[in-house]
Amino acid sequence: MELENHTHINNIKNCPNKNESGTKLLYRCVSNPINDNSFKPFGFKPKYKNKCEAWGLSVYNNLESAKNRLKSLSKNLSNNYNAIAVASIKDEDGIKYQTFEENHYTYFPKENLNLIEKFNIVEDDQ
Amino acid sequence: MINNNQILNPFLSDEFVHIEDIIVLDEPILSHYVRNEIDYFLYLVDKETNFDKYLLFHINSWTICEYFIGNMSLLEVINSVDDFIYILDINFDGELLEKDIANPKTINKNYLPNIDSKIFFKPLENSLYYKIIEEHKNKQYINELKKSAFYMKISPKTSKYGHTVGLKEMAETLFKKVSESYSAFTKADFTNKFERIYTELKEFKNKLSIVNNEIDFRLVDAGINSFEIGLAVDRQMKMTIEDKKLREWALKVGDDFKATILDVNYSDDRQVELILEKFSPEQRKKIFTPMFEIIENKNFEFQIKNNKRSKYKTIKIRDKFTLEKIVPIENKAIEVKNNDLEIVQVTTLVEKGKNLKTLKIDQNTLFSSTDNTNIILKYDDFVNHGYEKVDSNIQIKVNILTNNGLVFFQTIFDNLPFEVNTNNSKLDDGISLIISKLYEYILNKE
Repeated sequence: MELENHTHINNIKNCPNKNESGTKLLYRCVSNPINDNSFKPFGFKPKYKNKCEAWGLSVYNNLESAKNRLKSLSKNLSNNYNAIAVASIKDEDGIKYQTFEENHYTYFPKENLNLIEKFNIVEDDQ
Repeated sequence: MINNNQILNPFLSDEFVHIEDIIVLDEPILSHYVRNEIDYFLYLVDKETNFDKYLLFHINSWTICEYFIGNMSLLEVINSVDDFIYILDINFDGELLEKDIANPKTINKNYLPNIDSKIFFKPLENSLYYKIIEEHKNKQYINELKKSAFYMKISPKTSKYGHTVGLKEMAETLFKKVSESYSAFTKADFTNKFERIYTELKEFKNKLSIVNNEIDFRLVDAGINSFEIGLAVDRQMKMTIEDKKLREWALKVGDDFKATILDVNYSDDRQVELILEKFSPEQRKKIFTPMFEIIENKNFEFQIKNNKRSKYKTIKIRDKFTLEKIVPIENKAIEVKNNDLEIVQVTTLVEKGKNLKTLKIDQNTLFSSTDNTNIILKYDDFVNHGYEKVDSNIQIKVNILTNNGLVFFQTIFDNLPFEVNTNNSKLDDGISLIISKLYEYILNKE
């Protein structure tokens, strides 16, 4: 399976080096309405281009953790992230594994997957 | 190759060691660095078209752990910074464009997170933070208990061992006796409060057994140089006791013991009266006897204080009458036995030359009763009692007679009277005494 941004990913040794199989509900901090910028990895910033996880997307395995991370953003930065979206990610949707902490995953979507359709905004009362 | 450390250029970036990224939203939002053993947080606060804006500030390890376990929000962490905060503009190549310094109290509010910015960080098992957080939680438990701990101290009255306390002294004086007193107190207090509620013995014992496992004090602090300990009631664990009445009693009993038994002003009549009203003499005996043994110990001074910061006060009992009021001395009836003794002469047959300690009394034994008889003390008798420096030919006749429950051993030796008496039926005791008296005379004469 080819991953999105695979030309950059393939330049990094052992990237990604694992995968957690199975379907998982994963939550992402996004701006509302969702657009392409909501799924742009930060590997495009030169200072991160050699960091494997910078070519994946940050997601959380539960809504509470995603909300806590939103609250941890500065007021200025929270302009870029003002909502949480959720998607059911299957094995055929790409690579995913835990990084940094128990609730955080890095998700490498497969090439050309329509993430705008895949992720849905979580309403406030959920 | 640009790496994470280089985004801190020109802060001598090699000195800043990247530890871990804590909050990540694709890119690190909050990261932990160390420089010269000082911890720093680097916090991404804004994105401009061509650069990112960060806050860099010093943080201590305690605050890091408090933040991780959700006791502090990120806003509180930033507000707790007691020196200054760097504001860094760093471009996408990791080059520092601008550097500024701000006071945490006057920093731009748009750079700060939500008031509710708690994280509840759960590190992966292979993370550096995993063990640190576990140790911090354990310390937290003890620190929480320490806040409500009271302290006891025993101070030696001599400086023979530099005011240090011996292991045995400490174990037998402080630990054992306080523990005995506490056990007696909890049993007495439980009985006084619950014996009318749990009227069936089996149920009563069952309930007491449930709480007994939960009411031990936790030892949360200790100091040497005189020996002091901090004891605390664990309120958390007691919440596992399901019965509300028992739980409430268990939560209170430790504090009651401290107030009623340890921290007593024995000069205050009201406090003494309260003790007398609250406990029966038998209960008081069990509770206060071990405590009085500590307080009255000639080698130590016993002191107590309400918390770590307060001053110690010495517990004394000035008036022995108070002591006896609380633990009355028992008057034991002394049984006086009046034995009337008589000498019984036994005639029987034994093998010649045999030195018998016991005789078989049977139908062939003849008895006759008398109130006096005599024996001849010879050299062997002296030697058998440990006295060897006598004439080997010595022979001293000793009269044995009984009168009014006493056995008299009398003799004349060197024209001098010698007499001893015993009140028991063991002839050998009397013989021992008279031999000893005679031997003393013989030695002094020489």
